[in-house]
Amino acid sequence: MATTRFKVFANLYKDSVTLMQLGAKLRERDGVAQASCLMATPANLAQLVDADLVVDAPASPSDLLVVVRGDALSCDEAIAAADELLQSAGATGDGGGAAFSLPLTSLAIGVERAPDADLALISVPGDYAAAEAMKALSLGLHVMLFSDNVPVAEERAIKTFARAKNLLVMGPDCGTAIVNGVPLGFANVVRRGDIGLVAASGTGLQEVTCRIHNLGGGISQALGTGGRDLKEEIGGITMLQGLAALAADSRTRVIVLISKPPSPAIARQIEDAAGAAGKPVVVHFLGATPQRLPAGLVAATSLRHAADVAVALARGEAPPVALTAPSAAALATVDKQAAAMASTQKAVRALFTGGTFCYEAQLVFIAQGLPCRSNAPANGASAFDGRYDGHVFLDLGDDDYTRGRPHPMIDPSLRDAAVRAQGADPQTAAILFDVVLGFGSHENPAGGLAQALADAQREARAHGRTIAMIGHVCGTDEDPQDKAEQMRQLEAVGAVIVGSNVEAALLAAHLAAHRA
Amino acid sequence: MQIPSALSIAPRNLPRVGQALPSRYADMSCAALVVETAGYLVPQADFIGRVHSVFAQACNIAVGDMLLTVCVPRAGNGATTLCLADRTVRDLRDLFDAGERVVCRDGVARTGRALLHWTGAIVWRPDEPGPMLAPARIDEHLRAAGLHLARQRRTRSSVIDGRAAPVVAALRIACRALDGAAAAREVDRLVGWGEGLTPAGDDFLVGMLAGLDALALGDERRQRFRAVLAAAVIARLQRTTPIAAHFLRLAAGGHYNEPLVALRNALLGEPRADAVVAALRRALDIGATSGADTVSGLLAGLAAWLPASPTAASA
Repeated sequence: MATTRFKVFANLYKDSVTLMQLGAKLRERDGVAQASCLMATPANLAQLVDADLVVDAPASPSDLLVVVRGDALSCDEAIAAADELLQSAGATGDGGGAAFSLPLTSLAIGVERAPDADLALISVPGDYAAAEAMKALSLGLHVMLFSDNVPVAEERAIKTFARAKNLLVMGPDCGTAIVNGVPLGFANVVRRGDIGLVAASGTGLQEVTCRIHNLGGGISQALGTGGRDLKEEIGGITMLQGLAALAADSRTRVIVLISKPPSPAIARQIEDAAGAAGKPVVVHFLGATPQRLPAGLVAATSLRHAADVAVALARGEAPPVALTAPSAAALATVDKQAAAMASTQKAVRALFTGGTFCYEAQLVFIAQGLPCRSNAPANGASAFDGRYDGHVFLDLGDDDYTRGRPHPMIDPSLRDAAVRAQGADPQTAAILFDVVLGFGSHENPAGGLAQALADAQREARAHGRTIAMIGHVCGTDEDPQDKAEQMRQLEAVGAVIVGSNVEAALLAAHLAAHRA
Repeated sequence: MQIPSALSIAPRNLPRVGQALPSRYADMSCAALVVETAGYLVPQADFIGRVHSVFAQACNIAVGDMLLTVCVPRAGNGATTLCLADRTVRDLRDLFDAGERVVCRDGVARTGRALLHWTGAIVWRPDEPGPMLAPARIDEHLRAAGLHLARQRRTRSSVIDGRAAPVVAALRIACRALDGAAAAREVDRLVGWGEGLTPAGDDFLVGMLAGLDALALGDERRQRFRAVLAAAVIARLQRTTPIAAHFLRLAAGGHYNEPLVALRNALLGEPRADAVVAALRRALDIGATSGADTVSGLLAGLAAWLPASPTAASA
């Protein structure tokens, strides 16, 4: 005896060709007499009633309806098959004849296919990266080189070759850039404007560009150089080229340079070039003692300060002084938490996804005479040997932690686990953290972190302790992750979220100093 | 040093990235897509929308009541369509996710995996119709198009040439008679009826409105009838899929996609038969039966009001 089976797929849109093909496939099945794949509009439902295919379930015109008639077993199998076909990406058709296109197998083919392209983004294992970069440069393309583990001699060779051809090599290990408003790699959604940056630091570039945006300023270009560019062996080739490019760029009114401290000789070269740029240049060499700089150059003392100074200069205002203490409200909150802590709670555990944030936070502690240990130690910090004892600063994006797994900005689970573990440590007074938003980052990094923080706090409280949770969210209101919602999730579990990494570090250092 | 060209590249030159990232960046991708042409109803102001639906060759972005359709280059222009310049884009499902937020500022729309630039896009507007051919020549075109469509219907049949045929015939009679009440009754049956994501009945109505529009100019009674028909369509939009409702809403306002306008102009003003056939093939080559259903509507609308038919004066 014939029976009718149906399934409503709520809000499922498939192109017409897919629907027709699916209907035909279902009708071909043994034991199926009729089959329809239709949008569940009132007119179609009425037609099904006329055809004695009654669908007695609520459905709306946005829903896809699969109806089959035949013997019971065949109908059940047909519905199951339809379910599988509709949910399987590979079986959804191509929307009526997507063009076949040969895959690109070389940069040369790519240039042939897109003759106007003038930048190659290269991301291959380090052993092959330099060769690919040379090919791209030979084709007249600028290069952004994601690849790391490129030997320093090869980096020098490709950068020297590029410079001779008046081309730019961003990298190796360059994860962030914004070229003509196009975010490349880990980058945030920022407005266009008149501040140009060259940075040997990915998250440093993100922090400064985000703060500029959040202060109402805008970015003309943000160029990465790779972390080794300012070392003696490379000589700051990319930074000097980038600086020259921004100096000549009519849309750029203020230039910002960011790097860990270069050698004195390279620093002098950079500063001389910056002094000749003909426009204001903000220099932030993280951890470097501000020197007497040529006219037109302003030294910044933190990533936040670099952004603040750049925005002020772009507006024709006097450079503001650097932040030296957290806000009174944040201090009051943390002090209140500290008052309830056990005597064993003396250590700050800083768990970062951004390497430069880890570095900058260590600098704050070192400047206040607080000893710290790190897997990526700043000058003055000790190496982390795996033991959680005292103030520990971990860059969880370092190669030690990312070998064979995604970067924690993409997959924060490793950091979340490390956060959870701090709840059981009687030393832990505070957990210091960053959250980095933007393209490339996890779609909801605060979600898992908030849960991990709550778990750590629960564990600590079970043993009569309270942990301070201090962090900052690097991002803009236009990033895909919804910054306000990210902050809300963290604040909902009791975290103190401040406006910059340096402020978070100052707050943690304040706590550490008072717990010592 | 001169500024490298990569730093002053025009939107057309933007790089496409995210195709071969190292394992640590394995989940990251961001494609820079350049829009070559943008329809004349695409908002010029900043907006925030959501990806409504994604297919291989088209992605619909909901902005208020409007759906902006991002499509691959060969898909054809439309009033709310953004046609990509990059001919290597093969599957938009790799770039967009239904439900994700789309933030557009200064002519750049951003989603999680894609950037759409249309500041340099050419604004597409439909071609103005040329001088109308002699009635006999138009009649030849219509007959040829009808034969071509009938051949296509052998493999692309839908309710329009099946169970809905009597409704279609009744609507055509109502159009000839300028009987708004009768037309509304048939519209009531057609909206949301039939195969496809945009049901066949809706596609037919879009084509019919396009046909009627071409012949309503300067005729007040036809224009009044056309307004009644459009109102009947608008009143029933909730009875069809959101995508079909969008195209019906546009059609009610007199906005049609490029293949349909090109075919309408060709049927009425193109002396060369081969050019008409080319336009016809392009219009038919949309979706599974959508093209055929729309062309059916266009031919019905034109036939209803062409000089050979009873005009407003005689009706």
